[in-house]
Amino acid sequence: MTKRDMLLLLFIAAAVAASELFMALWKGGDGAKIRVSIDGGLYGEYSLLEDRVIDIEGELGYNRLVIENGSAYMESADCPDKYCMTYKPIARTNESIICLPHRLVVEVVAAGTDGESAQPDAVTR
Amino acid sequence: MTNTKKTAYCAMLTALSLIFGYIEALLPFSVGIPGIKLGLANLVVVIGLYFMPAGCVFTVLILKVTLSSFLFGNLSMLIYSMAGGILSFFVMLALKKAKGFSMPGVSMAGGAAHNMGQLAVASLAVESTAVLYYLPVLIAAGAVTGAVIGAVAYRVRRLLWKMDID
Repeated sequence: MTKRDMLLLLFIAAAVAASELFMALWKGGDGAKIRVSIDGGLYGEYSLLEDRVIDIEGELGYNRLVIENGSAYMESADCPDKYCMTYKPIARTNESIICLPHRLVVEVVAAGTDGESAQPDAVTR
Repeated sequence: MTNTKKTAYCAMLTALSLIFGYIEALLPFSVGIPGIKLGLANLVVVIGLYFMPAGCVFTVLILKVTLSSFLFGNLSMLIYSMAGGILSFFVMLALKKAKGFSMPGVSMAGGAAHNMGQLAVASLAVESTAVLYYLPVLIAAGAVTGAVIGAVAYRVRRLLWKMDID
């Protein structure tokens, strides 16, 4: 280990700590609904309050999402890696489940945010 | 280094990295987070940087990523690995040129850069910043696996020197 290696290690540790802190601050309170999007486009929004099973048929494949007791998890998927099924159930805002092969993002959002425009001012103006 | 030697080494290193890729595909090393793996095949790139011209190593890297993605992975893996591999290559090349960094250090930065590049492409692919949730754990994991690979690379290079390979 040279002196520059130590500096590098400190730099990387700082980067990890900074992004960790950012994520902790960014992760919000209890979410109200989940938003499903495929390839960046909105697929649907579902309330976390009612238990249901959502079959998501995307162009790239199929995923089954389950909402249960206020949180959501991926029950099954026909993608090759099945990483999305290993995620812990999500319930807090900004938490997400991502299925990369299907370009699918499931994220928790607060009650007031609708569709693409998350700015509250958009309606009142 | 003569051209013949370069060609031979390039081919040999590419073959070697594919074998490492195969071994890695066999190993059930998974922590449930996409993108985290040991990166055995990067051993070849790290060692290559220390005894071959950068252009040759870059060629090996591109061949390695393309071939092993088709052999052991899928097309979507190709773009992530390619982005990570290329970013990691240039970071390592810069640190190596900068002097003062040891081989494990160079490789550590390369590992972290690899995962950052991969994540950047992933967030572009799903057109969402939600994947950035993984940033801290991926940087840390990249640095750890990179340092391990670098430490092994350092040992191998010393053996290679004893065998008088230039």
